[in-house]
Amino acid sequence: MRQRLPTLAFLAVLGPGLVSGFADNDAGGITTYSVVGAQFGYALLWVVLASMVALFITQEVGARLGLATGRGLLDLVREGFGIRWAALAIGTMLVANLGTTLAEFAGIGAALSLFGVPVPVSVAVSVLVVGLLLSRAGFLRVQYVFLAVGAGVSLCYVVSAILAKPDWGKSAQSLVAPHGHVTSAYLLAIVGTVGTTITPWGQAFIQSYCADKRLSAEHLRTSRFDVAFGAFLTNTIAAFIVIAAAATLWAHGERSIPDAAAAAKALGPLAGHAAETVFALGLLGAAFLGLGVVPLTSSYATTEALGLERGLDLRPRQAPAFYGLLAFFLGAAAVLVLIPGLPLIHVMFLAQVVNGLLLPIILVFVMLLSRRRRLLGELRSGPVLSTAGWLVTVVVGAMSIALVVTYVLP
Amino acid sequence: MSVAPAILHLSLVASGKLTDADGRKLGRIEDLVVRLTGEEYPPISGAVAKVAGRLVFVPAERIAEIEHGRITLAEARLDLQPFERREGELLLREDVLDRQLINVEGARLVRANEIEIARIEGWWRVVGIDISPQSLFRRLLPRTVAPRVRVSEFLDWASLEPFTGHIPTVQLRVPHPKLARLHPAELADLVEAAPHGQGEEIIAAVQHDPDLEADLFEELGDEHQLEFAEDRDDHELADLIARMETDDAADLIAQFEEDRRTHILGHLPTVQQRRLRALLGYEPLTAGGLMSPEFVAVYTQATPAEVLDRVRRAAAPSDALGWVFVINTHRRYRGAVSLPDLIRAAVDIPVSQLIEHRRSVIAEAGLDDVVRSMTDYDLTIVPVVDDQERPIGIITVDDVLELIAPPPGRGFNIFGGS
Repeated sequence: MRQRLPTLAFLAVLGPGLVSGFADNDAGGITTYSVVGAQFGYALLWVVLASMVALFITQEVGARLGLATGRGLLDLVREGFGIRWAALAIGTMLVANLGTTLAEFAGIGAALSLFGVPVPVSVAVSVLVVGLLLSRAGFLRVQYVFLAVGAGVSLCYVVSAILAKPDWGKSAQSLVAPHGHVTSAYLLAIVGTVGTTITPWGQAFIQSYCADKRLSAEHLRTSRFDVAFGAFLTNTIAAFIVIAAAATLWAHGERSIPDAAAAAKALGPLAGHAAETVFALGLLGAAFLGLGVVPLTSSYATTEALGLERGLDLRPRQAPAFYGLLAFFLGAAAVLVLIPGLPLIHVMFLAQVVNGLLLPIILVFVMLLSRRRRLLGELRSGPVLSTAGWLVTVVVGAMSIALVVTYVLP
Repeated sequence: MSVAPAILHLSLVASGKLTDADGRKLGRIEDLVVRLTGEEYPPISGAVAKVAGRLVFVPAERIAEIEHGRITLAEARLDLQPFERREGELLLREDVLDRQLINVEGARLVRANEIEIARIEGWWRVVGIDISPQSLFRRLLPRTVAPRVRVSEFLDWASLEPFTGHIPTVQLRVPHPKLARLHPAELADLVEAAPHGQGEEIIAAVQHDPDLEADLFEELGDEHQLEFAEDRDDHELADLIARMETDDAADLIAQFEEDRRTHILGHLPTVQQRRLRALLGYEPLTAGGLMSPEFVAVYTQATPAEVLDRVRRAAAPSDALGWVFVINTHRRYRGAVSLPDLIRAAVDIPVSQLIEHRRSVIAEAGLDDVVRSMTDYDLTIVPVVDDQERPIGIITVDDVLELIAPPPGRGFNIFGGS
């Protein structure tokens, strides 16, 4: 008969925080980190550490909501704050995530073009691969693929940072001691770094994931470890990317690069061909992971809030709206990215703006919900977690709004 | 001539104004209250309104008219009680709208996008819920244009069962009678599809019928069995397990930690305890998995009369009593004695002299070994012994036949295709 090993019990809980963390370092994230490293060198490493703490707090609160209620975020918003707020959240999340998906395609295209693959081919192949994976593999296998890709990406960036021969002493020092001249560009970079780490879809994702794995109150400790580990890994990788870019691009005066692919390309002459390849592979994996997770989260959260059939364990015929939305995200983003002459950068900026507007709203909902005793019982946030959560919400909210303002104003 | 009653949408009623008989506005409607009686369509038992900053209850008998955007009182004066929740009552907007319900028709979970109300048999009653996207769209529109979105087909309340576990006062008082229409397998599907809390509620609703509850558990997937069994105390679990089929019970109990397992087993009747213990820890297609732990064993020097007396008093099923095991003082297996031989034997000889065969198998032996023992020695039972040669169970021929007989409709059909 069956034997239950404690390690298996732990593995059963592991996942939500880890996958969510890995997926935070998607194409947009890697672009942000490499741009930040190239522009400011080691100076902004402390922001990465601060985002780690902030990410842990928001994900912990999100995980608690999932553990206690067994339901998704937008679902709770609809119940707790009414259909109009839920509709607003759904609508903005759809727009923002379409933009994010677009960015993932752009990332895949850029990464593969470094290996000589034309963009239309790489986009078509990635639509096919992700589409088949999501529609055929089932929840469990998809999760393993996500974890494996995430681990691969992490390895790529650790290796590329080592190949770049950075100043480790200076890196360590910058991690804990904020420094650098405070300019508007510096502030913008801080906002970008935090904004790519804490995302509306990340909040929806962790909660739905916990609910879907049917984790409950007794899994709080293991879940917290999972969330903490996820936040730690995410930001460690982010730090390695910043370090790789700082040690090469910044150190050699290449201070302005447009995106991660350009960073990879510039790495070649400075740190060797291997560094370039590994960096590009990391970007490819990260974008692929984002391509799986972001449309999945959007479709799941939307259909859940609307009360429609959903989930990877159902067949497309059983959950037409869920798979329809998935197909829409992948299809629309793929088509958009292939339109010649479309200013992709602006489209992605727009997505960032919408995400930036949505984030404070989502965080406020999360924090308000997390204090409801009727909803969470013993998992209700205590005064410490709640204060920390509100602090993060206020700071991140102010930053997001500042970011939006700088985007919108000339 | 009968005319279909006009359908009112809850979201357009609750949010409207409360006026007196002369049309003066008194306050704002917050919610409608229904009493869950046994009726097919529960009647509106009142409204909750905000008047001068406080929540008041407007009892049904003082309401003259309910329409979109307005509830009119039957009288001009206003002396209303503060609102308090009462047992057995639901607030439609707060407790039902936007939440999940069970649709007994098809055994699905549905979400209430709108609650439909109509005047039937002289009073306003809840007639159903709308789960269509256009009803959601209607709620997003400004209230002046919203009523123009036409009424779509909605689910009849007669087949709906709301969850009430989240409502403090209604708990325990509201049975879910419609769930009785569902098959245990459908109930199990619902439990698995719902969030944990609502799953608990479904199980609690069938708990008045412990056999139905046990059937439901048998239908749950392994990890869900554990999810809903874990929080119970050992007593409750033993009660549940005692009612389940032995193999399902063994599957469930096998998922607990060693300690917990022992405790649960301790609360079971001895017979079941032994049966379960025997099943736990053996692969299904080995002698251990096939055997039943109920048999009669006697010492070598016992007399036939004593042995027959034991057989008479044994609780084991008859097919296991055709043979009696003989053991020595170290409880080692010495052989088997058949019932006819015992009956025909002289009264005062020890049973050891009646032993007919000494064949046995170990618990780890495969199905093949068991079958071979039976065919080679013409046996209808095979004793199972542990590594000390002590008997631990008995396999009867019917247990084995079941497994080796060709499935019906196949094998015997010579002319059949595949």
